[in-house]
Amino acid sequence: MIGTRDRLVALLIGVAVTAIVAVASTTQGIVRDEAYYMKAGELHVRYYEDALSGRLTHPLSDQAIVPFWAYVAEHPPLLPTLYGVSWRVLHRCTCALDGAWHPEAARITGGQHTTLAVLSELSAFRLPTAIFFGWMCALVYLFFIAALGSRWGALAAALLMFAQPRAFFHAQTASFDLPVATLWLATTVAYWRALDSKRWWPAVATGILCGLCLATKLQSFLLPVALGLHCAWLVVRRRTAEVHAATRSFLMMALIGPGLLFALWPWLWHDTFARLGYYLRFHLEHVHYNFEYLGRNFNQPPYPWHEPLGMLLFTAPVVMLVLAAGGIVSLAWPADRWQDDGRSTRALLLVAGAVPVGVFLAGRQPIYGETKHWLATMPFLALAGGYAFDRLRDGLWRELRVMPGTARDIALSICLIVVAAAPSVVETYHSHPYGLSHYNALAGGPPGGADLGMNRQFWGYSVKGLLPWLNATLPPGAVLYPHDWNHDSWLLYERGGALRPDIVEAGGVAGSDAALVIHEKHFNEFDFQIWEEYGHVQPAQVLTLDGVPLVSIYLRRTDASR
Amino acid sequence: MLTWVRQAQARLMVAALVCVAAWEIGVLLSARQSEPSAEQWRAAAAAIPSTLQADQLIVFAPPWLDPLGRRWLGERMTPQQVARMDTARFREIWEVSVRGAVAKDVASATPASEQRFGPLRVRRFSREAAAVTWSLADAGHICEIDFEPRRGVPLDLQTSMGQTLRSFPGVTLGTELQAYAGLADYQKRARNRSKAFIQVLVDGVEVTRGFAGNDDGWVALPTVATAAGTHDVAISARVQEPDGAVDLSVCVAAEGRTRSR
Repeated sequence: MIGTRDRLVALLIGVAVTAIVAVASTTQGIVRDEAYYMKAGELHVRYYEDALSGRLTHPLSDQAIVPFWAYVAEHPPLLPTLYGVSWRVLHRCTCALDGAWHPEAARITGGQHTTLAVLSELSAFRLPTAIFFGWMCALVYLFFIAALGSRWGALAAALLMFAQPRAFFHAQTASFDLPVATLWLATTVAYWRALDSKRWWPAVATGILCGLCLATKLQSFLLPVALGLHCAWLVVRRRTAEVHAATRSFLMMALIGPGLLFALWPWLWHDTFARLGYYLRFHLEHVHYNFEYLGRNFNQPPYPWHEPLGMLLFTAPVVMLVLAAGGIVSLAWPADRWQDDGRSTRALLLVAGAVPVGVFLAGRQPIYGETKHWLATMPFLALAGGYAFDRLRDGLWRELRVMPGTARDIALSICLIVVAAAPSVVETYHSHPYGLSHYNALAGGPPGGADLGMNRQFWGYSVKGLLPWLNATLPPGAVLYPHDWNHDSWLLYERGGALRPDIVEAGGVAGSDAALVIHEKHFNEFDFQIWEEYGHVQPAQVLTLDGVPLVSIYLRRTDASR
Repeated sequence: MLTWVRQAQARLMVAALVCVAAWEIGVLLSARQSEPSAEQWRAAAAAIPSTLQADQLIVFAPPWLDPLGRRWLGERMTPQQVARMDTARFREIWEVSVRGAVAKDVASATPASEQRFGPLRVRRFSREAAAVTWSLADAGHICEIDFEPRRGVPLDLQTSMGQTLRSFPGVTLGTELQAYAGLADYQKRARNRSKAFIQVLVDGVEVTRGFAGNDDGWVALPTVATAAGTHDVAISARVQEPDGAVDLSVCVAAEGRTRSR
């Protein structure tokens, strides 16, 4: 049973996680799509601002909507809108001075936005994802107590969720994968709570969360499938009351979910089916980007069925994997407390955790997203890990009778939490800010991952580590070939003062004074282009993680410098 | 014994967990410490001649070390050497490696010397080198073959009936001719559903042949003995086994050589 103290602890966890992630994100490079989502955020929030202030005379008309919502119409609106709201409320404003960097429809030509002015623009944009991560860890804590009953186990589960290099990485960025994983968990928890109720409001809450999930990212379409499988299991078990409760939830998900998506997405208010069709087609026909796995570059199906499992095995902290495996085994052979579980909680944990990663085992889905497309699996692994932790703690308490009961419980629990969480915390700290390039101890760390031929990185995020060097080294007005470093990310760095404004972006290696290569297997050819163009093979600087090259930069040699 | 194990089950499992946790932290810390420092790179570089002749080569292992190795030793390397056809022309190879890795160019060779500079290992290999009398690579550019650099001449084929021929009249051959072929450009390899059939002709007569497919990498065609002197060399490529899209960017390289033995 969850009490006030538990809610306070959950709040503390949420706030602490949010704060840590928000601070860490200030050193995190900008990933490819973030710049687009930030731009969309500015446009979306400006639409609401203009609509509510009366500056838009017909705010519901398509002519009013298109300038603010046609951009990034391939993703649902919730997170870009939240990024925009966070930016609008919190950023330190110089928007009139640097108007050229803002999307045209959202520019101001004079004065300042009235804001709280507490964060940089980048941090303000990114804050909502950090809050989602805090919410996820707090939810893991509360759900564990509600479903499995142990506060120490809940704390371990929350820590195991927090200290995961890849999840931590995504939590720092203004992108959708961590938020949709949080909403997947939240909807599952709401559905689980509704199973125990004969009233409608828990089902309504499930419907609302499902709607928010739909308004976040496409994976949400799989959520009713996962919950449907669980409901089918309830039918098999002849749990009539729970089936009725589940039906109420599905009804609310079917009614509120699409309704909320429609309400939050003005883009769909006109030409609804054509625009919805574009959204779905964009993802169903999505290009297959390159991804290196076990030494081979994949850019079209069929992919190895084991790729998601391999990525999980080599990227999640090992102690967390061991505990999660133990927890799954323990849950599969339950203790007495499970005998009367009418809600089939274990089956729910299984399907809600397995479906996000399971769809990738078919070998047909694009794998370029490494672990991010099935981040929703991770809280369920953390819950299983917490369960194993609690069983160990319980067993140890019975075996070691060295102190009085309560003191023994506290001492053993703290020691065990240190053992369970310390490697994960070390690993996450170790990986920052290059979480996408990190591999765990099973792989042998980042060098081991490179030996195995695992994907080095993607999204061109790691160039941030070279910006100080570029600023200090390149001559005034130098022309730099940025390789896979996204143009809009370049502009954001420039806007935030992290990149010198006189450095000129080149469209190709020819004519450049300096050239970057972001190391991924399929990008090797860019090294070769540079060697041909510059006539030498020597990078002037190489950014590394534990000795593994992430980015090289070459300088064109003048006759004097040869 | 079994009773004791049952009674100490949790303690044993926690002990195992402590071991896993310690190992995990240890591996990560050791991975960080295994990164060579700038001083160690400088020391390793000092162990290698500061000016290398055309028949001396530096290689790195594992392959991912290459950009960092070139950062410290790249002024002693040329694009031609890095994108070499093979290592037959090199009498001395310096291998710089970490983590006990071995470069495939020296995989079965015995080093003449070995030095260590922290995590860096520098090994020198001496060998009999072939004298190169003619190299097709001089007329080519760097192609990406199996994600590695290879200097060669491109022969493009886009239709199932396509055939390309490149002639090199009046070249000086030695006692043997070695040719290689591979499919350039990973994007083309992803589209392509055919193989390339490559023939090498000397004075109008086929002397060696081979096939290059999407996953074949850099293929060494059988070496042929040749009469030393001036000859006309031609290399042709045509489509073999088309099974769908044909998009072949065949890259070929060849060397006329004379071996001292």
